[in-house]
Amino acid sequence: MDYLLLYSNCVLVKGANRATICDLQKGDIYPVPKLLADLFQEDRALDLALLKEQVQDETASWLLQLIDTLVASQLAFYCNRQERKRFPALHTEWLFPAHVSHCILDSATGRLDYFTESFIAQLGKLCCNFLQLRFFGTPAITHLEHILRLIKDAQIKSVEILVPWNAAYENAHTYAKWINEYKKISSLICWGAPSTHVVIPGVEAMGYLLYTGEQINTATHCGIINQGLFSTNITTYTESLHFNSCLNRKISIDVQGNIKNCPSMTDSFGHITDTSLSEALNKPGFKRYWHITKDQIAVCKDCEFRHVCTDCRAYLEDPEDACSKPLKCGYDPYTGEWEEWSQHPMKQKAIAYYF
Amino acid sequence: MIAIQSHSDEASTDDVIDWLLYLGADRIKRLNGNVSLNKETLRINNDSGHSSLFGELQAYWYRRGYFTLDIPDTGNPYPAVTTYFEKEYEYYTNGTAHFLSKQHSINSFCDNHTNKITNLVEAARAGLLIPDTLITADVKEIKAFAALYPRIITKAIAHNRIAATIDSDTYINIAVDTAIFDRDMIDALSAEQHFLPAVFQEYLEKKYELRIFYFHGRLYSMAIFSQLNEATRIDFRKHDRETPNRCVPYQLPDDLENKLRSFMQRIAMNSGSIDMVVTPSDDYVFLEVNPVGQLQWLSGNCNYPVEREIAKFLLHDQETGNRTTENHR
Ligand code: SF4
Ligand code: SF4
Repeated sequence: MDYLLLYSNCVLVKGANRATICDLQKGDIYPVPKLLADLFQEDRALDLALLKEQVQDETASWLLQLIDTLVASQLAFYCNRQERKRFPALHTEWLFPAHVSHCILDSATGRLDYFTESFIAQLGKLCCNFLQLRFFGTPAITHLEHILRLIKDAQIKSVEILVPWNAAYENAHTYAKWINEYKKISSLICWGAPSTHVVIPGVEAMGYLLYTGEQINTATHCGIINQGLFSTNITTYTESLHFNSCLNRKISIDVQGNIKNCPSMTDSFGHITDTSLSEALNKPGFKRYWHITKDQIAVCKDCEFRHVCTDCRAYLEDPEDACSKPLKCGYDPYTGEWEEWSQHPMKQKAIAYYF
Repeated sequence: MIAIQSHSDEASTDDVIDWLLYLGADRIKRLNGNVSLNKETLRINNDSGHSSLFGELQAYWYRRGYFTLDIPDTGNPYPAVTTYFEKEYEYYTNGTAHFLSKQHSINSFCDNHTNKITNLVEAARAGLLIPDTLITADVKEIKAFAALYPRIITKAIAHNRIAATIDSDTYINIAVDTAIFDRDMIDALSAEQHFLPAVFQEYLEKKYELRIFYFHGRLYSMAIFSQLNEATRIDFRKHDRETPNRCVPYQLPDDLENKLRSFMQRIAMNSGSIDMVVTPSDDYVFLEVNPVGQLQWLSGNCNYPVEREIAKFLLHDQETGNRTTENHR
């Protein structure tokens, strides 16, 4: 055989210190030493004859062992010269039919009075897929159920809800009832609960119910980056190649009713009482972050997780630089170490600036 | 009006509609499940055809479901009369399906009647390799055929699945998968045994299988490395949940693409999913074509814009229109 070829939905992402192979079909991430990663032509094909010529002795047998592991893990296969051209690289176009993919609605009081049929129709026009409702105050049962009923018949595919934990609601099994009744709820997170645990695990198209002891009482809790939030699939990967991994096609309404790209940002593009979502969206500047890709962001551009990671442009290591690394990421791609971001000495100035 | 005939829980239909809405379509009619034609009118003349069902029909996509006619129960005691009505209406629904297939359309109900045997004949005529195939109930013939190959398989002639509603609470759904016909079983057959004619084929060793979605002249191909998982070696439809088969984009040789186009034109099917295998000696062998195959599996694993292109076709998007004129019948 002439080549070891990576399956085209297993993509090699090179970082400063090591690389990863991201299995976009099965959702797994495999770390790979840089030495091996650099041997791939066009990041896909490894010429086996060349390998034997260039590398000798122990390194060669170590590399051959690694190669066997890649084949055994079904990340790559052996092929000949003719076959190689039959296996093209993955199309990198981001295929997502929506003018707005995500919409975040924040409420300090537990009310979202603008959430009416005509508001849902606006979201429909924008082909909005995902909705996130973040309640920092407890919504009345009737109010939230009214919202959920509107969502039920709308085009929205799924909704994530954050609510303050409430003893009376728990006693009445209200949360479980919502999950069972409204299939579009992908997750319901109750913050400020007595303990942190998964109450209903989301299985087979059912939403999950999570209680967390954390106090998620303002928008400033957003923007955390960790491995649990990585998503290894073709949609995330292709979006990250061309667009921002958080803010692209996102629209939000903050607790005051201001229409923004993200609730934590200062720029407002109108108030929901007098501006339509599409009007706000088309105002100059609304989409200014949409095209900032990981390849332009300091540090992230050298990170082997950059195409499966999320992003944040609202909380930055250097608040003056729009292309600075997300503040709430504790990963250092130059050493390969994760640290608690909030403890990091280099971040203290930015922390003081934002909070 | 863009009319789409499907089921309410058909995911690819949802995906295409998402693209239609994104691209600005405003008049979409989705017909789900059994669609009664009782209240509809079909008009045919030399200028154009009209069907009040779809108003001014801009495009039509058949995905699932069928047309019916509700025959009122008048307490008629003569079964022959009922049979007469049923026949009469079957011709009407088939005629309607034919009418729709002549519009700017993708697939039609008539494609469900596609015939595996006919298709093998036409595939061979189009220059494609096909597996050696025997259809018989004659035990002597089966034994002679089995002696030619290391292994043979057997499969259904018409449908890979039996799905039927028995009564209001019983529904059967039996998968009739392709199976190896073991040497022991063949040897055990006696000449006096009676069964219905079945299909026997040489078993093909495969490097990988190909799933090719054909749509008005375009081909989107995917290689399936089913050999990696023992459970799916014979028939990859028996899906292995734990370790899904590796599925990646594949580029067919040009001459093979042309043969497939010519094959699809011969069988007059403007869209379908073609199954092929690539043997260890790099032969491409045609197995069968299904009119309404799975789309998400193919477009999702290969990142092909299949759903968008279907939507653009339905919208008479310029680019699509030009490329398909050659195939217009
Ligand atoms: S930019 Fe940051 S704060 Fe804003 S939505 Fe994204 S992650 Fe959250
Ligand atoms: S450095 Fe950037 S890409 Fe890497 S984990 Fe942190 S935020 Fe994600």
